[in-house]
Amino acid sequence: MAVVVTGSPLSASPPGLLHAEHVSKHFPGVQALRDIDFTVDRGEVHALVGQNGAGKSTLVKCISGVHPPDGGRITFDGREVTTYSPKHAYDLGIAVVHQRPQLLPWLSVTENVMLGQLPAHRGLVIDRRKANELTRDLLARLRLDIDPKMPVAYLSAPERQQVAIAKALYRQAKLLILDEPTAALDAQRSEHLFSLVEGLVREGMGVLYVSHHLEEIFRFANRVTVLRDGQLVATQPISELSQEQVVTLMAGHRITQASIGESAATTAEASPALEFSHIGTGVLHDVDFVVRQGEVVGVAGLIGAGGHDIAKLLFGLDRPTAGRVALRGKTYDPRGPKQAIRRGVFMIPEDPTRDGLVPVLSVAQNVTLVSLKAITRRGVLSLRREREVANHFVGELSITTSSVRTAVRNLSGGNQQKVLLAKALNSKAEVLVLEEPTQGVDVHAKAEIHRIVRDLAGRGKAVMVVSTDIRDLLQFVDRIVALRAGRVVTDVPARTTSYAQILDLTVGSVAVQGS
Amino acid sequence: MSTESEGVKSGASDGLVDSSATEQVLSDVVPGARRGFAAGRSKNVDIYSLWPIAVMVLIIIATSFKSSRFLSVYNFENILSQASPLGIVTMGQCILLISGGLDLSVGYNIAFSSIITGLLLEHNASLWLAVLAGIAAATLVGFVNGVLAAQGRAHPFIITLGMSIFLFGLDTQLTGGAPVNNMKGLYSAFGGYLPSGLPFFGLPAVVLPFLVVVLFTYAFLRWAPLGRRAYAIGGNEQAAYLSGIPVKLSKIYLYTLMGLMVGITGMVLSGQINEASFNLAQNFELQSIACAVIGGTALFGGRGGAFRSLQGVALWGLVQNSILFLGFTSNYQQMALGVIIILAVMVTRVQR
Amino acid sequence: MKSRLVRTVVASGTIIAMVALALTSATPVSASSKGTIGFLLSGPDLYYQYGLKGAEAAAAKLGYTVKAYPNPNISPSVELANVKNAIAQGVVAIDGYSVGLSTEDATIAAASRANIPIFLMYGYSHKYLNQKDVVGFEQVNLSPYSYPVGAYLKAHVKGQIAVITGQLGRGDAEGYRTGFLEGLGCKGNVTTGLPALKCANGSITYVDTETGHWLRPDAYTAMQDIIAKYPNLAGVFVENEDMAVGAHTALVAAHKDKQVVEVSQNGAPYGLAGVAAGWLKASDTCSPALEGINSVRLIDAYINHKISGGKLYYSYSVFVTKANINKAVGWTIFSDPAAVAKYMAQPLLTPVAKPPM
Repeated sequence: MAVVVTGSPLSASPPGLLHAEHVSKHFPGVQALRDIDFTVDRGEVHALVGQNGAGKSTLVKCISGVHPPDGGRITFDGREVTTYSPKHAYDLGIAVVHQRPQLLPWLSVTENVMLGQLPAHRGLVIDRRKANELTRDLLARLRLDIDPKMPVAYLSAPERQQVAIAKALYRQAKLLILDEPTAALDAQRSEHLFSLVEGLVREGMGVLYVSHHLEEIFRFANRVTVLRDGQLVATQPISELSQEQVVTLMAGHRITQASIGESAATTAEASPALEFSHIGTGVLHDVDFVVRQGEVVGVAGLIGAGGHDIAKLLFGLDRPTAGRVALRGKTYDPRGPKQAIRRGVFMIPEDPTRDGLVPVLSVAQNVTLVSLKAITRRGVLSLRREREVANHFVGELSITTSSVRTAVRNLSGGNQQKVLLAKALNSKAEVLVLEEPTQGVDVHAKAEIHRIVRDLAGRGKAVMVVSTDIRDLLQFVDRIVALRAGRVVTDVPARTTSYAQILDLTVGSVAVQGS
Repeated sequence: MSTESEGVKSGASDGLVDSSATEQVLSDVVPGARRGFAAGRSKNVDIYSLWPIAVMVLIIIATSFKSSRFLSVYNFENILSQASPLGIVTMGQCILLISGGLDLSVGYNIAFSSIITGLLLEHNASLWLAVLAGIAAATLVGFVNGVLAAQGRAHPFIITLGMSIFLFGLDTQLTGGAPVNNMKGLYSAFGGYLPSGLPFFGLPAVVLPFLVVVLFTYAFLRWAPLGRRAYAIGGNEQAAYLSGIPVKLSKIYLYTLMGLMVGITGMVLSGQINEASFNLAQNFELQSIACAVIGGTALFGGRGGAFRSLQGVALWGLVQNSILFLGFTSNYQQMALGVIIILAVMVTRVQR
Repeated sequence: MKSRLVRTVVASGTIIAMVALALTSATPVSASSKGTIGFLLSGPDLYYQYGLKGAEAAAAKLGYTVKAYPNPNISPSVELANVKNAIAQGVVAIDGYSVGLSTEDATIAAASRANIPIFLMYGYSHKYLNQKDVVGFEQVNLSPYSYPVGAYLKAHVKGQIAVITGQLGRGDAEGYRTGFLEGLGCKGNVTTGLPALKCANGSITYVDTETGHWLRPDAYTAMQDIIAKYPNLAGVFVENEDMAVGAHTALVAAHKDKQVVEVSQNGAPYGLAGVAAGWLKASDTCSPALEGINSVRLIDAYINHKISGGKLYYSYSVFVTKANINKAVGWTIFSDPAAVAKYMAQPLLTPVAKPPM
């Protein structure tokens, strides 16, 4: 089965690929979608934006067959959709690529791409050779360098996403829905994704692009639809709107960005809290830099460039093979998180649900987990004290929860991040390391996190933020340390540099600059 | 905000966490709605977790129609005495399951501790020395289980299974297959009844240690730092580790604690039956896990509580007894218990 | 580096241990020995150990060595492996116990194929008696064994009685119960043996039966439950003494030990102690050690062509109460050379003329 692309130029065929008319969806106690009218055309990149909870994922689920709308109808490729099931949606030509693609880890790339539709002799015996060949051709067409026989479990997250896209193509998808595709990607891979998508769109595919990254949307979307509280607020060509306007539409009011690099303390004179001297590990080479008290340092770089390894070092999850880390002047070589915390260092890991919080435990229990001693009186936990501590942080960080006894897994992503921050504050750490703090978080919550981090610096803490999102870092850090292949390629105040510069340095097209 | 004393709740820590599923749906969709919807029901009593009590009431009603002797005081005391030794181990198993572990060596470890004590008594050692040695032996086994499990190389299922097989051989070797027939002081302690009237009401002697252990487990899970750490490790071991919790050490403590409880069970059970032999507590490991699961303890960790596991033990003991009174053979006992375990696990999944 | 060292140590340690095990388990064959008899055990219970020890005592006198093949988990596959190992190690005969009916089939077939004579205690089905190389089976005659126990209760008790059986399903527990009910003079279907039945011309009612799986703790629970249902119970028959001890403990806890007359069978040391103490009123006793002694004598006779094979032999049993307790054949006679000599001097057991199927 060769891949056939419905390649008709935009003008010749009716443009409307997907029509959602008066679509409504109701869940117990809440109206998730209210009278949505919305279309996606062939050959169009249509962006879908909105805060967490605005209804984006519900709309996507309706379109992709996960659950039927309660009201209205959906028309695809001229025919009304009557059966709602993911399989039916796939058969029609609608493909969804999720943030974390649901692939079968122990099957090969080929088997995943062709799932259920492997070529077979007389429908009985699978023709592996032919299947691998076809997959190889497909991957080559997409300019993806992946071995079709490799089990998916061995692929990296970006590669898995690419396999999911290949799978969509093999099924001759006409509408490709991308859900937060760049959340796990660094700058280089994001660029690759964009060119891939642009290529597909040129061939006539329709793309529905759900994302929080307004910069990306403004780069290559044709139209944008803004949802707010389950209602469609606007659908307009991207050229007619500014980023600020989109943000205002999403939130219903103006949002002020955190001030950049204007922290109260002039950090140049503040004493160094953390000093890295000639640090080497398997990945890092001769890494030298300083984080001062009251300063926010952003460590930027591609995945694998070494940012994550620096964070692990600081938290005792790894040890340097060369060099020395000094904490407030004294050598710092913790043997595990417990020691790190005792010395006043705390790390907020990349994936809060997976690594940072215990989902079944309550907000209060999670926040106090880092310092059980503080709420222990005479060998026994004081539940009253636990609640006091938790309520204190809920107030300070404006965590939205009906009570500190709510299980953490029931909170939204942004609030979970805040619970982690509360935990960090509760650990009384003077040095904080944050890994990808704004990943997958909506614009409104992002701004809050920026504000909180700046506030922490204002209180004299040294904060190091490791992130692959350069634009985000530039909005709230004092200094940027860029890494490439384990080496520091620049160390400059954030004000003095730009996204393009840092991107080039981390990707490697410009020679190393002095700090 | 919220008050401390409430009825039976869902989720972890016997009522300290509010984790109703509806909240999740709402908060996913509309942030503001949660407050509006939940405001009128600030305390969600999870009816699902009370199902053992409902089933018990039904069983009691049904069986008392069939047999008038079922509702007698003596029978009630029987159920208590039959359930108590199993109950003590179930409490320990509950703690371990919450922390994401489990102990399959319980049956032969109970036998092991009773054999150590029994052999010492046979050689005319003092009662206290014999009991101490027996409990210490079981605690040592728990400690070894803990050290091995903490390494993280093999699943505790395999480790404790191996230990179970080892202890079986050790038990039969120590006794040559012959039971110790006279547990002397232990028998006097646990073979009969407590004084009648307040505060013991003439209940079987084994009920007292059981009650003490239940209360201890409740307090431990609620107020002891190690109990909290157990929930954290079971709920998300990586997150617990990254929060500075000494995971390995905690596991060792927890398994050792289990060993201690197993030792206590050994004393109680061998005292009640007046025998120490390798087959004293066969299948106690599976039964204790089953009771804990019926009581809502998740097999994967992070959820469970002392009083709810107590419900599991009570239901188990009641079903064993009522099947016989209804006139069925013991094979039906097994079938009924199997059905209950399956039901229990399915209810737990619904709760998720 | 460290893990490699650990692995080497563990690997070499295991190899050394295995070699040592192999060396020590090789049976030394003395020059004057007439050969080795392989003895199959079918569980960890003391009962089988006594049978083994009786066999060893007799074998020593007759010039054989005995090698034991344990089976602590009562596993059919282990039994088969034991038989094959015994054959491979060149035993001249196989003796002992089988786990169950289907295992017995495979065990006998294996011995037959290798032309090794085999003698079992408690053969489950007598059709195997006709197989080649089967010397015979020895066991108590199930129903007649428990009959005198029933007769005793019939003469000494009025009112309700119950039975605590062993593990049902193999036939022996059911057989004992049938014999007991016959001795009790019950009218009705004693073969299935289910309550309620009128016995002893109406003065006794058989009201309940529970299983204790041959285990003391389970018998304890069973006795508790029976008493709860029938608080005026007058007597109970417990099919082995390990369970009887458990039942007795439960009766003491319920303050009913004076009310309920307890009878059992087997004659184990703790059982006879109970008879002497007075709480166990009667027991039909049979010594596994004596069965072991007889089994080796019969094997020896068969090998020397003094008797033909394929016969069923009933074990010697004595019904005792406190009055004639010293008539019981003890389970530990193997440790008394005089007793061993006495029993070995008695004539060989007479085969049963028409074995029941």
